Order: sequence, then structure tokens, then C-alpha cells
Amino acid sequence: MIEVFKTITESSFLFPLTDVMQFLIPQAGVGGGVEAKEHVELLPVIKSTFIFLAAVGAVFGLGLAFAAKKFSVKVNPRVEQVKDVLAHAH
Amino acid sequence: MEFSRVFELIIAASLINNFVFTRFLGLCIFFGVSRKMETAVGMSITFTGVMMISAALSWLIFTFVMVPLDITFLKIIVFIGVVAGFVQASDTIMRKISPGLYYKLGIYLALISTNCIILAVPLINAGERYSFIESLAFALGSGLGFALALVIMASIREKLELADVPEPFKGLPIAFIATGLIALAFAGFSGLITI
Repeated sequence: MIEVFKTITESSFLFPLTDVMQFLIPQAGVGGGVEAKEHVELLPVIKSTFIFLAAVGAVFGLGLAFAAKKFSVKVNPRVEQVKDVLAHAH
Repeated sequence: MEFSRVFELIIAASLINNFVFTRFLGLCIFFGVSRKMETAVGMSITFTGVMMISAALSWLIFTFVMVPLDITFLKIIVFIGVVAGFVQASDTIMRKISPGLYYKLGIYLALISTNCIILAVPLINAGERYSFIESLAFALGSGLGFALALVIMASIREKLELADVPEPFKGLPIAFIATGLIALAFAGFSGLITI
């Protein structure tokens, strides 16, 4: 799975401005992984950040939407009407 | 070897580095729920379960996705999302599958998703680079420690209701003072095990 992920991040069709961005983004010294490194390529890190966060968001969003649909609980609509009359103060 | 390490972690997380009494995390839920013994016990059970599952989920995501991709700096925001998503999903599913359990424990789930102990445990697991078993042991120990704190505090506060407390200290202030005294007692555990 990680290999697929890396090929996606390294392909340039998702990020057509890669060559331009290379000049705009400075090279960082320390950081990135679990251990501090002397040299870090920032562009792949930014790409994988975006794709990873989008993937996590999509998985949770779809999962929660699906769960809400599949496990929906029917509530009697009259409950809401009664609550509206009672001003939600009970 | 492995078993003794797990035992050490559970003891250390529940007694020596108890999250409530030595790190002072999760105090909002601690004071909000410890007024009655019944709610304290319900909260403890839900809390330990959610803690272990969210620690396992975060460990899997951290080890198999974030470390190979060199994006471990995202751990705070990702763990917040994972915990909140898991809590929301379990809330939805529990409501349908077992309404009785939902009626008893459902109100605590929404409180748990914003708790700092639930976030601190995956962060410590990632920072110390614990293995999967060690992460689970640490989560179990933290949950047991929180349960212990809640039960102690609930039993004290039920007695405090009847005690003759000076007027300005009634309610929350005397609870804070009692917590400080228990924290002093828990300081006696320090140095029991060195990890």
C-alpha cells in the first residue's frame, strides 16, 4: 500500500507545477521523520501530507455517512413537535 | 520478559504516573463526572474501552502509514481526527445495536471525544515508540488509573455532601483540595518502578 501511495505522490500529473515549486520552496535542514535528518525534501512531504489528510478525511467521512445511513434510528416526528412546543427547556 | 514489561507499563501508567493525580490531565471530566458513584463507574468502563481501541487504531495508522511517509509531525491533528471519528462511529452504531447500553453509556461518549487523556495516550505511545502490545498495555493502565481516580473521588465527594464544609469551599473548591491531597498520597508511588 505504501508503494502505491509513494508512486501517486511522486507522479507529476497531480502536481503539474512541481518544477516551478521546486524553486519557490526552500530546502529544510532538520525534521520530517521519527529521527532528525540532515536533509529533507520538502516537496514530497507536502504532497504526501495533502494526500494523506485527504485520504483520512475521505475514509472517515464516507464511513460515518455510511454508518449513519445503515444504523439510522427512527425517531417519532411527534417527539420533535412536542419539544418545539415545550421550548426545549426540560 | 514481555509479560514483565507489560505489567510494569500497566502499574506505571495507572499508579506512578496516574494521569489525573500526577500529570493533571483530563480534569474537566474528572470533576464533572465524579459527583456520583454510578456515573463514575459508567464513565470508567466507557473510557477504558474507548482508550484501548483508539490507542490501537492510532498505533496502526502511525506505524504503517505515517512513519514510512515521514509525516510524523502530523500526529496531533491525525490522532484528534481518528479519536473523534471513532467515537462518533461507535456512538452511531451503539445507538442502533444496543439501545440499552447507549442509554447507559452514550452520554459519556460525547464527553470522551474531547478528553485530553484520550489524546495524550496515543501521543505518548508514538513519542516513546512503544510496540503494539506495549501501547495496549499503556492504554489499559491509563484507563484503569483514571477509573481508580474517579472511584476514589466519587466516594469522597458523596461523603463530602454530608460534611460540614466552610461556606466558601462548598462544592467544587473542596473537591479540588481533596484532589490535591490524593495527589500528595499518590506521590508516594514514585520510584516504585523505574522504566
